[in-house]
Amino acid sequence: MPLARIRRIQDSVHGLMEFRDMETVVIELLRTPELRRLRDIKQMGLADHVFPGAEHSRFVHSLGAAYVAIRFGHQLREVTAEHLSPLLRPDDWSIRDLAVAALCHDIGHGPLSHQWEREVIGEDFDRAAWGDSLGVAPVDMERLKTAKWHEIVGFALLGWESKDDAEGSLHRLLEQHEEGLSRRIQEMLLGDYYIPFLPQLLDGDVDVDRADFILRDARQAGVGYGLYDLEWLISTSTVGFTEQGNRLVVGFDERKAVRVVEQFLLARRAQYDTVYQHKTIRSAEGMVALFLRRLKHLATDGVPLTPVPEALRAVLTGNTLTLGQVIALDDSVVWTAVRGVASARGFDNTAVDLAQRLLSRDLFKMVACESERLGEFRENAAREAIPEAIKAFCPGDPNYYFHFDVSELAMLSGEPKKWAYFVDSCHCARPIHEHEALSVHQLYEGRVDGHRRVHNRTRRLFTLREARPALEALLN
Amino acid sequence: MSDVLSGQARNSAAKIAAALRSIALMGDETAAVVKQILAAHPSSQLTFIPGGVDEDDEGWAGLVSAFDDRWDDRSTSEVLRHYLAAEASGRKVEITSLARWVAAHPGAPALVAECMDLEPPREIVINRVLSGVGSQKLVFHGTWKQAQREVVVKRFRGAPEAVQPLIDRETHSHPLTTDHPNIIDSYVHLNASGQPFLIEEFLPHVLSDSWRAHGTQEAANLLFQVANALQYLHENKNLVHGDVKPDNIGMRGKSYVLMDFGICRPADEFTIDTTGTGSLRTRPPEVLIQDAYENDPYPVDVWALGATVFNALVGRFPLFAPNEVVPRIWEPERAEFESRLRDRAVNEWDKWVDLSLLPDSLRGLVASALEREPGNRLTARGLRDRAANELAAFLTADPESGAYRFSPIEELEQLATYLPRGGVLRRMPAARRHEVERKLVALRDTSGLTPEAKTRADELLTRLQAS
Repeated sequence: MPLARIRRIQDSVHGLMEFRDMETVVIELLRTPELRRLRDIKQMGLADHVFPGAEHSRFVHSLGAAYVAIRFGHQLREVTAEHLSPLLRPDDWSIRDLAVAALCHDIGHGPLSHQWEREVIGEDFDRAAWGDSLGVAPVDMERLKTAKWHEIVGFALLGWESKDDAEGSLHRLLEQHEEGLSRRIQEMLLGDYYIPFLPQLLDGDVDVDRADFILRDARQAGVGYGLYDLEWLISTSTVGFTEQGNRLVVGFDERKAVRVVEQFLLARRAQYDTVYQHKTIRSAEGMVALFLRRLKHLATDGVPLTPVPEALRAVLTGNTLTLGQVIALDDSVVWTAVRGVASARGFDNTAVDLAQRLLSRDLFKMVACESERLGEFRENAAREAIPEAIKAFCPGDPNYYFHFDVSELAMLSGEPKKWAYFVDSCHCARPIHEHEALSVHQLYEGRVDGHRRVHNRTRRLFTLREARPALEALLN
Repeated sequence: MSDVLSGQARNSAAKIAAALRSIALMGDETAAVVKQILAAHPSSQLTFIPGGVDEDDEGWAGLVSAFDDRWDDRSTSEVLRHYLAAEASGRKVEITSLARWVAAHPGAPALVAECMDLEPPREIVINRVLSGVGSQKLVFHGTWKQAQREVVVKRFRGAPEAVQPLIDRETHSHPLTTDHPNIIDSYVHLNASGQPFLIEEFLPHVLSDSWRAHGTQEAANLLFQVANALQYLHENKNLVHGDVKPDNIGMRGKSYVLMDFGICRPADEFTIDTTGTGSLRTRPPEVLIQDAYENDPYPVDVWALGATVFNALVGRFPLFAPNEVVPRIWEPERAEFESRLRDRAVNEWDKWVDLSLLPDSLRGLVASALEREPGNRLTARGLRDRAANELAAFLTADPESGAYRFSPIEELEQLATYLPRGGVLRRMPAARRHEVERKLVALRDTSGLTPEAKTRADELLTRLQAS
């Protein structure tokens, strides 16, 4: 298929993004329903409840990640000219593939990604049934046995073969460009690729996903924290040999990159502290989770979920979805349910009340209590006392009027395949957590698996404004 | 405002005076020089400092530190005396530079004096003496200010009428500003007085007699790359280097670079009447025996390169015993030593030029460079072309462009370690897969490949085809 030589898109973070030759396939893929759906899923979930500018979608983030992937790909091709065989260096195909994989890394997310996955799908979802419903072969489900729901859906969407022209556009377009391309992208997202170090850029401590969202989310939220020098980060990236000499890894020039990698890690941490884990946002997210949990409970009890859209109702009643149904899901499905329930006469009081509170932004408030004390409280199985303490203030079932929130941030991954590296002048790579000059180490609270990775675990408890004193009395 | 400035100047002068007094503590001779200075300028504390009060007091503090415990009273006083003499003759010596030279040449006032006496081209800062005290040529390490590049600065010594022919020879015969991957970059710059200086790129790593090639690959690349440089000199410039030896070969990254063109001349200037020059260690038999050059002097360079490679592999030069010391040219034993070398070349050739000591892959080529009869020797082009063909498996320079590349041996080793297996290879784009296959076949068919590397190439092809 003939390709346009160059396509340009203006972006609020990266400025003029240019896609050349084979890379222009990224732009073509934007027209597929699988990618278009991401326009209606907000990148930052409910963060716009606090930061009104944070309304950008996963669509623009995915495009930004694809562009950053191209930038890294070109850099790694150039910088490896003198120390890697040409057969191990990124080529036009692999840079294109990396960009496509980055573009598609989020296509499996459901509405309000995390609440959907935790409350609607559930952590113990029936993998075999979902695999069957989504058309993923059992042999592939075996490879996806530890994957999250959205990763399985993403895998399925890339491999979606259908005789119906309205379905499987992404897969079809990829195959039209090159037979076997969709499968190669699926494999790349699982970590297997013929340029063995490239998948590390899709899922690692320093990857193209984070490289884009840290800057984009900070800019959209309007905060000044999440900034780092992306240009310098890219220009210092290289490929090194691990100490055992049996792996090629993406890393950063240790003579030049220590501070920018540090800046990157700190920028992410700052975003978590100030935006993603903002108490009001966590409160709203917790209330959406309670609302969905309540609907699921009602469905289990056989209550007809009349005000809830069909696709959501199907999942809440324990059914799996086909790809055709998944593709129709976006944030609006949840908000339609919220609006529908809020105005439903005679529907469950608890659900109606939660929905009305969400629409009027009447959010739960944080109970004043030390994080450690909350931890002890939960561990001592004293949480049964909470509904009892607040029931007098609750218009509905008190079990749906409080929520524990545990926020955790791993600064560095414990999985070796996700590590970032510093690379010395002899191209030897060393994991960044072993580099003493990285002053960010001082910010870690503890060590896990021998590696400095856990930064923080914050526990918070939210409830109705009027119930707060009762809980504070109970806890303190 | 002027009062403020004069206050600053007074303060600065006081610091300088304190620095000089501190240096005077070195001993009586140094103290005497300092006293001499004071006596010459008794009227004012502000004027006793040569150069006036605008001197950099931090520079003087640096000079105090530079005179560390490796300097004694005598050597320190010599430096200060030379400094004063220079100032008295109207030459301005910057104290920061003096401090740098003192620190670079601990306990060696003569070398510091050489630095002080030099008037380099305006854009060059002198850092230290590299070599040459007592010889015709002084060699300094310097910094090219604008480009911030380290350079070697060469200046010829002697009376102007004696120096001029040397400069002419070096500048006319030097392949100046030649853009060749295996020849050093060099330029001629003039100082403010119009004297020419030869400015060369500084190569931090230069080979030496004790340099050994680690394996065949290093020796093969040394042979090929220097032959490449010689072929260019001989054919494009009609020049004979005349002094090819380890210490005239430097390294620019991973490339070997021929340097030091002090003896280099057009071929027609090497005649039967020309006395043998260049190192004895790499001097060919015909020059050793006749102490003169044949009509065709080009083979001299080829033999010298062969001898350099022989030494890198065997640990001695072909007509030399291991670690045999060459008497200096003015030493009485020199003549007898040269006579002994001639004897080895004439009567004991096979014993000394023992080619069985060389690895199989290089023996034939080095033997062709070390032919006793110059007429039987390969030309530089012949040596280069045969190396490009027979040693292709080891070469890290592209035979056509000279650009750095992976040697086929290295590439096969890396691919065997890192090229993925199984389904990942199967899913490679078809065009890329064909490219990989073509490349692997080409690597397998490279001439000079070791049997292990050949097996590796076959295994990789099987891995690819089976996927």
